[in-house]
Amino acid sequence: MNVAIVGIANPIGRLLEARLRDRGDRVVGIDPRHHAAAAVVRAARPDTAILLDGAEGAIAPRMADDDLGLRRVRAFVDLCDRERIGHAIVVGRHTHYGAIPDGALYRLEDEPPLGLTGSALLAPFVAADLYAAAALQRVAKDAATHLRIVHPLGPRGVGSLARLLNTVVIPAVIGFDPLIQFLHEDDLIDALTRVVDLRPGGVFNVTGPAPLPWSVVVRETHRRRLVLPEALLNAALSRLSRRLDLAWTTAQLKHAVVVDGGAFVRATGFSHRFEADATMAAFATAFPPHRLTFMGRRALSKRSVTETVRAGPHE
Amino acid sequence: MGSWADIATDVHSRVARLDVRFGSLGFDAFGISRAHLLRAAVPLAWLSRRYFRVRVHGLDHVPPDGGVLLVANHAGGYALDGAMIATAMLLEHEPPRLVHGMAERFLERLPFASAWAARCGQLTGLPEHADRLLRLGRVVLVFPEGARGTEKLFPQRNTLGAFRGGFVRVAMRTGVPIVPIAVLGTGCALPTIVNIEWLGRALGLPYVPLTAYGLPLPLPARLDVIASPPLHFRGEEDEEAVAAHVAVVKQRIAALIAAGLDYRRGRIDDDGLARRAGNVTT
Repeated sequence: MNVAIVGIANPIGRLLEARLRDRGDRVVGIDPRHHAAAAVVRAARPDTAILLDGAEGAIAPRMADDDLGLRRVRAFVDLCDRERIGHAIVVGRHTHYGAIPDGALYRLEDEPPLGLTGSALLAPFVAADLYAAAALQRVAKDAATHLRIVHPLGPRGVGSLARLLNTVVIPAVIGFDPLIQFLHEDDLIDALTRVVDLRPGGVFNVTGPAPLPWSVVVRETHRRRLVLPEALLNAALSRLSRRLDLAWTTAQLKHAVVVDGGAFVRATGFSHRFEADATMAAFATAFPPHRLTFMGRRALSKRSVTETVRAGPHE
Repeated sequence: MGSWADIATDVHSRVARLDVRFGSLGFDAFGISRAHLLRAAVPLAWLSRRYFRVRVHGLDHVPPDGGVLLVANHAGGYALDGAMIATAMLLEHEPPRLVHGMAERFLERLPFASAWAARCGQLTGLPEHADRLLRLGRVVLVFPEGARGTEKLFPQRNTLGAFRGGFVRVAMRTGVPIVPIAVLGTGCALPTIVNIEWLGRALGLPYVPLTAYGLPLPLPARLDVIASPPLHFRGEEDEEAVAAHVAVVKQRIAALIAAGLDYRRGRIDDDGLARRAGNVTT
């Protein structure tokens, strides 16, 4: 199978590329806004195109100059339309649904994004998510799959939860302990490869083991919580978010965003292999607290890019 | 079974028998924590047995397994009645069952209270939560009067306010029985003379109940929890049918309150109460 990946350079992209190549697929990385993208796609003739921009939950500086990814999503949609890509996959995040005080646990795919008025940080992700979901249903030749994944976690330090856990002290709001939902990085790659193979059409939440309170996640990864009043944390988190490219808000550290992955399981037969304790242990072993540098930045970049991710050369 | 140690031993053994799948870290899929349950249930059990000397009647009407919706009256400043029903289901029902109270939305905004409520299985009162829990075979407790129920002042303690109808829709959608329950005595335990709304707003609460003795702390009044046989509602979920079913439930709870008052005044004995609770005409 031929697969084109947008966002192949990010850690999840590299993991997915490695998995697909291992089983004999041909993988090409593309930037849909590059002038040569169409030519690369025409040469590669991909059966499937995957947009991974939302998977990491990072606010890369370049995205700020790019309407935080919306123009890139538009370019991806246009490319799928023009080149008649059979199966288009967009990977977004479960935080789309919004961390609000009276939000239900186990939200379903048809629920609207809530609580955006209090989160300018997450609004661009939600806008990109909604636009991609609507546009791809229109242009994909065979099927369009829109995934909203929970936080990845594991030995490679992929994703915004791992980045937050790799800070020196972990922020928490005094008096609140929200449920946090995550799945092992390898389970995420399993889920993505299943989508490539089975081509389920529609919007799906992708989940792993049952959620755990933030205090337990921090404790089981051998970190220390810094419990702060909300007002103080607002200021600290906005600085931290910019420094570590994190899309974390105070609301997410107060209220749970827990989604129901039942529809995805029914469509693909996916089941997670790694339980919560094994996932946290794998992360804690790979990133012990004493190895952290200031704000965890160097440790993450070393582990996630050069040591643990095996990626072949891009075509 | 009177001392704190005896009560703690009993609570530990009954929490171990709950039909809740706690993972290796002691949490279930809704974030309910075995450790938090134990920490909350031991003092509640002491309050139930030693302080309020709760008498439980007809709790065997609650099925031993499967989804069931408990519907009760509300009085007494705050949800003391909810805590005592949940404690009774843990201590007196066979087998012990965990009650998921549908909490008022303001609770989720309160530091500490929201976290503790969630760890003990008391989720925000949303139809989505009730649906999911009932389909999983859990026990859900609702107070159709809402916060207006606990606002009742001392003279109105044994009356019923307006009932909202969402609980009937949930029961019809999920096909579970409704067990009406009356709780008597909470209005005496917390005899509210006025609700201070401005103070409540400042604290993130609907109001703060003010008692004749000043503090919103409960007196050691005896409480009675009276359950009646389950009701099953089927058919179309149209407005007219739902309103009729709500009226049936309200009428049954009113009859339970009347029977309970007669019992508390010594006009009928346990058998008389059981007969009236089991044969309430609607």
